[in-house]
Amino acid sequence: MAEIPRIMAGVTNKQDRLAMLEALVDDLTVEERRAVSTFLCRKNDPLHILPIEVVIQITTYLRFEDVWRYQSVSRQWRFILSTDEVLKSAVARWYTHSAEDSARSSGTTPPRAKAIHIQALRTGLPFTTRIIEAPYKGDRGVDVVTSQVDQSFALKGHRIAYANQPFYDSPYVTVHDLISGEKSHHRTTAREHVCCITLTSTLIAYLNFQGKLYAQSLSDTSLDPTQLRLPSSSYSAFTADGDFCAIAFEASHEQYTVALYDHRQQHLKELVFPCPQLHGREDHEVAFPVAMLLNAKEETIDMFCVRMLAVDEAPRLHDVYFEHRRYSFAGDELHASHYHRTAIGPMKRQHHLPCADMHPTGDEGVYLFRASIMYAHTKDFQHSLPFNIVLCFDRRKGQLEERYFTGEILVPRTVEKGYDPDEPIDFILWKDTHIRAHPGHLEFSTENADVQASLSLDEDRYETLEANYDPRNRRFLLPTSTNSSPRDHNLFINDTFLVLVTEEFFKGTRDIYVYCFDPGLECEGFVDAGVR
Amino acid sequence: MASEAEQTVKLVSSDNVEIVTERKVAERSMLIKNMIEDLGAPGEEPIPIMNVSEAVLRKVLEWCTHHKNDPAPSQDDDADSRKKTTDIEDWDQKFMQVDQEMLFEIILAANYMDIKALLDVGCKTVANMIKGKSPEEIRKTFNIQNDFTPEEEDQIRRENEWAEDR
Repeated sequence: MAEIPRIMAGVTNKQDRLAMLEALVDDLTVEERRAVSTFLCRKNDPLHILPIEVVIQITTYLRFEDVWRYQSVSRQWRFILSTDEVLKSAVARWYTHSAEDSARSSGTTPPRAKAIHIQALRTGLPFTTRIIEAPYKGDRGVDVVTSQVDQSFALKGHRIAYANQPFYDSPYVTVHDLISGEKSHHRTTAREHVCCITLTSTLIAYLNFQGKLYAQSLSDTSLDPTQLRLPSSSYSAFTADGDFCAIAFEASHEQYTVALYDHRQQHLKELVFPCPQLHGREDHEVAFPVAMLLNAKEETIDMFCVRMLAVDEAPRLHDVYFEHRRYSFAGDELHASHYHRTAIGPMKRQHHLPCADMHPTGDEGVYLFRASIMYAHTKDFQHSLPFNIVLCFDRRKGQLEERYFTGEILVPRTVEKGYDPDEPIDFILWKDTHIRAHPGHLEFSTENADVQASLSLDEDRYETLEANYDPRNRRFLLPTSTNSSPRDHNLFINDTFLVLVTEEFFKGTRDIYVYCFDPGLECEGFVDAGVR
Repeated sequence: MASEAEQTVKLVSSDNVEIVTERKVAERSMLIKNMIEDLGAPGEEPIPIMNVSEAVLRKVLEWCTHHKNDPAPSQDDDADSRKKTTDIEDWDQKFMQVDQEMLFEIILAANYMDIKALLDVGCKTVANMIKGKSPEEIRKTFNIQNDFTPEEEDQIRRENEWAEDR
């Protein structure tokens, strides 16, 4: 037995060695050849050579999708990549946003079920669904003062909140627990419509057009909500975290004004920050806070503004910037830090205010933005188009991520004659899935083409998935039972639910479609999604 | 007695080659560090590194020499597994440009000799060899045999069909 290596060792010429090996292999039976392949495979395959703990460490550097996709390499790979330990860490890496953005804490489901859950979210294949017809009766929707995309609806964890605006009575806000099906109603005292709602896991807060803030703990809804008069009714951004709410108002030339409300102390504080000026010509400069992130624990506010500098009065051309600044409100002290600004480019200003909506991404503390700067046109565009830019903000570092920050402006197709009401709108960038609304369906697409490759689906679900997949464009379609224009749609998402709200202002109707992506979650009133 | 900085230690590879190196360099390995502490008199008694051949040991020591002044790794680094990147610093990247066999030998040695930072670099290098490849390309890279039965393969192919590039 030991002779073969010794003979081989005596031959140094590469060609001769190969010839000898070939002669050796020629004599082998089919079975022996297969065995040789297996030996060779073990000599080269890191999953065979390296100890299991090292292999597991290697898999922690792979993306979530890769862990699924590479199960098709070989049996050994499939075995290792489908162990609970590998799946658990893959799921944890993907699934690490705030616990508030999931309907249940991430520690309670087995990794495999969670992986299936994630995959359902990525491919737009919900497990259960329900439609909620909610009264609306609004008549002011078209001239909403707030600059936000839509703030008369909120989703947090397993709760949604929406405003109801009866004509001859004071409006109220409904908080609907999607798991238990319970609803609570939160009234206002004035006739003025509710225009912004925000939810945390403990608090519901809303604003009306008269400059009033209402807040109520979700644990005790028998009490009347706390009412407070705000310094102004020209809201620009509204957010909440824990027991705190922050409202930013339209900025003046010199300063930003933010109202900070602490529900535990029932105390409202007005914070005024100086507005850094770029050119010192105040009459030519205007800034709009478009979004805020409030961190109650660290006592910080991250504020995101669109700033415009008039460069040419005649065509009303503006230089547009997007900027971030962090303020710390610990105690009574106010500090500003982390300033970042990026130029978007010259735009011609139109009537609409800039707005932004933020979504959690896969990493803790990282947010993606879709900021619609405004309905505007540049010198190069003949038609007014909404400019969407996509930004990524890392809260821990306190900065806008440059790598996402290539100044890419997503412009919808140019429409020759005005707007096409069926034109899809770029709605949500969530983790790295892009969700667009069309009449009759939602489109899920992702830059990671490998998301689809998974071996975990049962036959029925697999067939449904295949039927909804458009391979040419690498996207999944989720049929919806509404055929209304995407312009009447609003989308909200978290780690468990996708909510599609269709509001037709002039008809005064509103339907809320709720899709649940967690296979193990039982929600009152939900039925099998029956996606075809 | 020589100061700690000038102390040397004798290491013996699995193929019985003695290598003399600076103590500080050798102590990047927790295995050696613990052994030196146990032996008490460094430099005199050779330390056997049983599972590592001369060629690999020299390579590992080359890495330890370059990194001898690195700060000790903090415990926190380990806990933050969420935001793992596969970024590798330039010198390490060049260092890892070896054939596959040597790469795996280095990883095995780093694991055995308990050199966490080197093990990390090795794992990242392997992860980078895997990332972005199709399953077929992975099989080619590591000479892996597709050992699924035709039925299993058919199922896998069917499930992956619409994910393939077209």
